[in-house]
Amino acid sequence: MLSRQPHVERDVGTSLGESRPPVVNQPSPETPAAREFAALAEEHLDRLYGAALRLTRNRDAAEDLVQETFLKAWRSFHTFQPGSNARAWLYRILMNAYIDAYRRADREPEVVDQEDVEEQYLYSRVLASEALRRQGNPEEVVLQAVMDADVEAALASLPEAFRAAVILADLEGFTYKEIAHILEVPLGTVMSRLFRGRRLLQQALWEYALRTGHVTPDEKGREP
Amino acid sequence: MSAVHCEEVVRLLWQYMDRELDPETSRRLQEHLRLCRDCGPHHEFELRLREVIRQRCAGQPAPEALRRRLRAMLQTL
Repeated sequence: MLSRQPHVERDVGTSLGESRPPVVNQPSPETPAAREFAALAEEHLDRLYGAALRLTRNRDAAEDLVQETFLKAWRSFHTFQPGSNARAWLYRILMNAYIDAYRRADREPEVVDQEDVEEQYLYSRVLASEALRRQGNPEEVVLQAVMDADVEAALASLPEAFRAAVILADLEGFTYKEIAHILEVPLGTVMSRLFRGRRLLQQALWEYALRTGHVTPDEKGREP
Repeated sequence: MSAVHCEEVVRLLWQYMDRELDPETSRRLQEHLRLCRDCGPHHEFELRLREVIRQRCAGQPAPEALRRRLRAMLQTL
């Protein structure tokens, strides 16, 4: 599953291009490949943990997922091609491990929801609300509401497939092509999941603003 | 300059912000966003919104316990 790339003989002397201090406070791992892998793990640990936490929504589960990811990554490290995208490679393993551990266990079906939410949900609320306009600057009111909102909870409320796309694009900064590789889905699927995820996130943030009184019900504008 | 309509800009806005459009389409959108009094503020709003979301979901470092666990695991490689 994790060894799709053709096997290549490792040039263990090849640097990955981004050097960080190797694992400290411990005797170094024995082989050059192990040392190289340890440096890679150290470099990407914090970001991978952040993504794992957003995926699993649980600290213990996130820690287990990261450990599982590095274990699987080490097992297929001999297939990793030096100079290729190490970060995307690790995230792909992380997503596979996550799906193995959670989605398959839960038998959570792929969310197929054709009902559309309008493009750029929050901005259309900005345009629709007369009351917001009367308050002065509707953009500022809405952005302030988002700043005060529990954005993490809003993100956590998204269905997994959409959440993963938003995490990879908007928090991790991967390109569509990289996300397609990481999630093993076509480019068009990445785009539809990402755009729907963003819309749902904006909708959740708007509803949060309504609930917390940042935007009063009178100000919410007419539904389309 | 070939015309680009507001509806098309709204439809392509996220791809534009994601830098996923071809250079020619991207240039046309950029020009439209610079001049259009509707789409310009819309783009500005989406940019600021994205930044707020990114800041509010900023990652936290991995817990020390996990770091220690991984280092121990890596020692056994």
